[in-house]
Order: sequence, then structure tokens, then C-alpha cells
Amino acid sequence: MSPAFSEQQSDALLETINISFGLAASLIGDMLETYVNLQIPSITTIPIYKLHETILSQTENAEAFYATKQRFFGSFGGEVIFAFSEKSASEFTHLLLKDEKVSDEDIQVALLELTNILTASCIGQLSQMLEGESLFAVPDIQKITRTGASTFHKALEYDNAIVITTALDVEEKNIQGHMFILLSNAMLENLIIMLKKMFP
Amino acid sequence: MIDATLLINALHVGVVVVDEELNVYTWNRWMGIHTGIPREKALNTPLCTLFELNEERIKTLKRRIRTTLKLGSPTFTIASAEGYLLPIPLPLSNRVNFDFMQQDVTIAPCDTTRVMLLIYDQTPLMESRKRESLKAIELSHMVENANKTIEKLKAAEALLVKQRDVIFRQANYDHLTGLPNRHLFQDRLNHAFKEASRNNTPLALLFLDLDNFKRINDVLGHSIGDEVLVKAARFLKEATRDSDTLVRFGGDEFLVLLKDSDEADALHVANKILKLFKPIMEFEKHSLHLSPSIGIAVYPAHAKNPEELIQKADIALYTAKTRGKNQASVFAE
Repeated sequence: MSPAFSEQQSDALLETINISFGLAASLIGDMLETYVNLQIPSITTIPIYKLHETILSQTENAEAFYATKQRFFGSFGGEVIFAFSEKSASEFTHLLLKDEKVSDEDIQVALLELTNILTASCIGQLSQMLEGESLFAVPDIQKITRTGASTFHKALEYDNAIVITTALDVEEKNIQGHMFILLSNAMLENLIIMLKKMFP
Repeated sequence: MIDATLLINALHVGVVVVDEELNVYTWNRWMGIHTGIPREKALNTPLCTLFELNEERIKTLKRRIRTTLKLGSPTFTIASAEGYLLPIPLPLSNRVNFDFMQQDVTIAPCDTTRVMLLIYDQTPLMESRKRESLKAIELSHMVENANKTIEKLKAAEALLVKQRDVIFRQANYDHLTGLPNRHLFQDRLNHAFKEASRNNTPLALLFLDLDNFKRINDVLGHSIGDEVLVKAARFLKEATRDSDTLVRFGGDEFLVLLKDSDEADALHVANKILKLFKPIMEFEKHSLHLSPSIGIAVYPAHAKNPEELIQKADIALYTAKTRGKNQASVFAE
């Protein structure tokens, strides 16, 4: 588990994110018109300089992957990155459009809708826990090749990334998504203080 | 207190408030200007009546509104992925790459049943990206074409090298026997002479022709004659070292240049050649008596320059012929 959190704090964070994923699963189910289960996520924290290599390894070292980026501001501020391998991205879009042939544009639109749900539910829940609120910037999505992935080094204004990995169980498909919440040291400290208050 | 309606109408952003059934509750001035639909007409009218929206788009839009309301948090669509949410036609004069306004749209919850669509015109940005992308495509085509041209040039260069080799071979080698010809021999002889002179080493030349070859050619034809020449060349190769130079000098005449060799070495090679020519040989059912005559001259004993060496070997060949053929003769003053 994460070195930044004690075991109790990690459990509390996991529980909080699990709750938010419950709402997200119901909305994704509505989107796909089928029952969806979001697996209990695994959570770790990494220093920001390991972001690039972690994203590459999490996306199965694929030649290219899709990444959405969205900043959020306010009492809980940072940036969320979602990474999906091409395989997972295509499978999700097939399910949404119920079509075997999907374009790159279709995939980007589908992933944006999916990450909208996951970001809003997860960050919303964490903001609530911190007794504040967050404003979201317009997200961005890109298809990134392995060599282009070094652009994530630009996220240097942050110090840490909480890595949340989950999978969407739907129609016998296992669609993996990787969420990276980039936070400054101060913001991570706030989160830890709040977790300590909740679970002394 | 500022009037909210005034504020909404002053914004350079489209503001539309709708419910889950897409009924319009707010329609700001920006929307009226860009869609050409006046506020009075838009209010209380479903979006699908105001715009041409297909079933899939209506379904997606309703779902997004539902998601926003359930999350209680804004959701987004972006021009770079989706192009536009509402098909707002661009003025004809503004249509370069797009027919409809490219939009970033924030769908934000207003209350429990309605959301606010905030529409940002991203057409100039997307036009600029499209131009960059077209330039990149054009550049990549140029690079592709340049690479193809380079490949063609490389292939042409390889062909030229091949043709140059063919021309060199045709100019310097005998096509029948594959031996160097007179032209190449002259060059090698000059070179060998310089080397022998510099190192103070001897140089021997064997001048050889086939006895009675003219008769074989005349009686049995050129095809047999050619076969005889090829066989003779093979014997010469067999009897000499790789470092020696063999030449078809013309007709049935051959030269063998032996570097660093004196009279005794030359006689040794000549005898090896004579032994390889058996008394009777078979050529296409013809049994032939084939033999060579060989004249030998040596530098520096018999000649001071290449021309003289050839001349003296030729004289020695004549001597071998007059002495009864099928033998070697060393030049004598």
C-alpha cells in the first residue's frame, strides 16, 4: 500500500473512492444500457517523477494509449489523468456504440464521457470529505505514443500522484482504466489530515 | 444588485438552460445572434425542434444531462474530440474547414431538474489546429515523396554501378574465355615492369598459340574453335598461380606474365602447360590433336621495356614453331 498513508488511512481513502465508484458504476451502466461493476480499486502513491514510467507500465507498455487530462481548482485542487490502453479504449467504445467499427474520434468522445463521470464522482467525493468544493477546467484527450508520453514530465508543479487502478466488468469484458490524481505536497497533507480526523 | 439576465446576455458565451426533455428555459443574446433563432421562439421549445438532431444525438444529449444532474457536477464535451454538441451553422463566409461552429460545452447543473449549457466557440482554434494538421500532412507527404525520390536515385545509382561494371568487363575482358584482354594486359604489364624495375626482380612472359588452330576453325567451324579456346584458357589457369596474369591476346594467341620469375621458372610453367595438352582430345565427337607452341622472354635479360618483352617472346614463339611445334623456346640473340 501507499507509503504516504497509514494502513487505516489507506483503507479510509479506498472506502471513500469505492463509494464514489458506486455512483459512477450506475451512471456508466446507464450509458452502456447494461449492468456494470467497477472493481474495488487498488491505490498507491508515487512521487511525480515516476509518473511517466508508471503510466507506461500500467498501460501494458502499449505502443500508444489514450490519456485524458483535467485540472480541478478550489479547496481541493490538482489534476486528474486517466490512461487507457488502445485495447481497453476500443472495447469500451464498441460497447457504447454497439458497433464493431469505431473510429479514433468515437473512442475519444466515449472516453471523455466515461472520465467525466469518474472524475466528477471521485474528485467530488474527496472535495466533500475535505469540506470544500472543486471547480473543473475543460478536459483534454490525446492519443499518446510511447515516445510522446514524456510530455507528462511537464506536470512538475505537483509533487505526488495517487494511482488508482480499476477495471470495468461489463458483458464479460474487463476494461482497465488507470486514474492518476496529481497533488502538491500541501494538498496531499490536507487529505492526510482529513483522513486522520476521520480515523484517528 | 446586477440583473442576472443582463449579465447572461452580455456574455460572449452561449447560455442555454434545458431540462432532461431538452425543453429550453433560458436562451441568451449570444445564442440568438449565432443561431438566428430569437429568444421568443426558442423558449419553451425542445432543442430537437430548434436544431436538426438525429436520434443518436438526442439520446446522447439526454444521457449527458441526466449524468450531470445525478453527479451534481459539470460534465464537458470538447471541440477537439467531438466537433460540436449543437449544430450551429457557420456563416458561409466563415466556412473554411467546418460547416458548423466547433464548440467546447460545459453542462453544469442549475437545479435538480435543469442544466445550463455553456457553449464556447472554438472554431478559430480548431481552424488553426486543422491548418497545422494539414501542413503536417503536407510536410509528411513531401518527406514521403523525397524518400521515394531518394530510393529511386539509389536504385538508379546501383544500376549505374552495375552497368559501369558490365562496361568495364566488356572493355577489359575477353567474353569467350573470361580472361583479361589486350587492353587490360597492357596496363598490368606496365605496372609489373615498374614493380620489377623498382624491386630489381625478374619478369617472364610466355607467348603461346595453338598449333594448327586455323585449320580446326576452317574445317570444324567456329563453334568447335571456340570450345578449343575455352579449354586452352582452362589449362593455362590450371598451370599458373593466381598472382600470374593470363591474357587472350587475340585469335588463338595467349600471354602469361609471371612476376618475380626467371627463365627456369618460365620453362617450368611452360612444361606444365605442354603436359596438360594431351595428344588427343575430344570436342563434340571430334578427336583432335591439339598442342601449343610457347615462346619465352625474360626481363631484364632479353628486354628493357614492355614492348620489347612482347616482341622477344613472339620471336621465341616463332622459333618454337620452326623447331616443330608443341614445345617451348626461350629467346636467344
